[in-house]
Amino acid sequence: MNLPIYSTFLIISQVCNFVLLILVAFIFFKVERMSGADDNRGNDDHKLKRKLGKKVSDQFSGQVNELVAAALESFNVQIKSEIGKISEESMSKLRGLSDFTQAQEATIGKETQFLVANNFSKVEKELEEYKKTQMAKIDHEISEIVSAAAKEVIGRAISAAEQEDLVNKSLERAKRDKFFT
Amino acid sequence: MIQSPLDKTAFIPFSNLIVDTQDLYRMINDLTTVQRSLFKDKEGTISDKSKDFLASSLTTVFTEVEKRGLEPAGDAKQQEFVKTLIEYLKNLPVVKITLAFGPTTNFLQRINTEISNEIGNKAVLDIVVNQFIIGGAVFEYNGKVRAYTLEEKLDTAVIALIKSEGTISRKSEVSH
Repeated sequence: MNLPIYSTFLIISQVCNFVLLILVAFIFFKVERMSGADDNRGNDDHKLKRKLGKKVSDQFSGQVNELVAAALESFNVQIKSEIGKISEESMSKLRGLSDFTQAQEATIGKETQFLVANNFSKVEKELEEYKKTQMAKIDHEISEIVSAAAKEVIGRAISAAEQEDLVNKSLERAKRDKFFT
Repeated sequence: MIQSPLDKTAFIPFSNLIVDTQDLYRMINDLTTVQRSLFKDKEGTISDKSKDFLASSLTTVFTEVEKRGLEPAGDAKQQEFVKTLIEYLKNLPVVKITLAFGPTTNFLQRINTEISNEIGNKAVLDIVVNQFIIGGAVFEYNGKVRAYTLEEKLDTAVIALIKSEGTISRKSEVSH
């Protein structure tokens, strides 16, 4: 995302340098022409002009160098600043990612604990239900066994006279209930 | 066709001989034989015509009915009489009784009398012996079934006993 900004900045710097060079060259040519025009004034002035030209040239060259150096320094500073920003941003994002990961781990841990607890409770309930069902089944089976045994024993224990007496009582009950009417 | 209520009066001595379904089937079988014997152009009463093969108990009843003048004369009428008698006996109310023991004849006769009086008509007992019946009887009559036995009381007592025992044993398990 930051790469286009750097590219733009680099291009602008290059363009500035180029414009600066053109200006320097233009000034140099102007001075050269001016010195050419004054050739007729005499050889005495020639040395003076040369010195002056050289001085002006040196002065401009120094200024151009200073400007280029300043531009490079500014560029370096800005690059460093941008890199620093990117680095900081990356670090921030990494820290965020780390925090998110930790939060997720904590959430997963909590959810796992909840699920385990929930499943444990469910299994416990199922076991309780199973226990109750099995106990009821056992009670029923015991009841049937004891009942069958009791019937067998009682059936044998009742004499014929007692059987007849019980049938008579049954008949009396049926009559009271109006079963035959 | 023999007229009612005279016919019914003539049939009652026959139905009085019946206690259970075995008696009924035996009598119907005998009467069917008598019905066949009436085609032999013999003269006289039914007891005369069938005395050679008729059971003594039935001969006695026929004689009694003849003495009371309740039996018609002539083959066709006698045959109609026997046919109507068979139909009458087949339509007697049947009471099914399930008992835990094989009852004596006297006991069955007494039970039959009581039930017949209750119904207001001669009843035929259909006796079934089931050793698993506990103390009492199961009656079936007119599409209704009712058990008058000790089974229910016994089951309730057994369940109560098991529950109390179970509670005690579980309590002792918990205490241990």
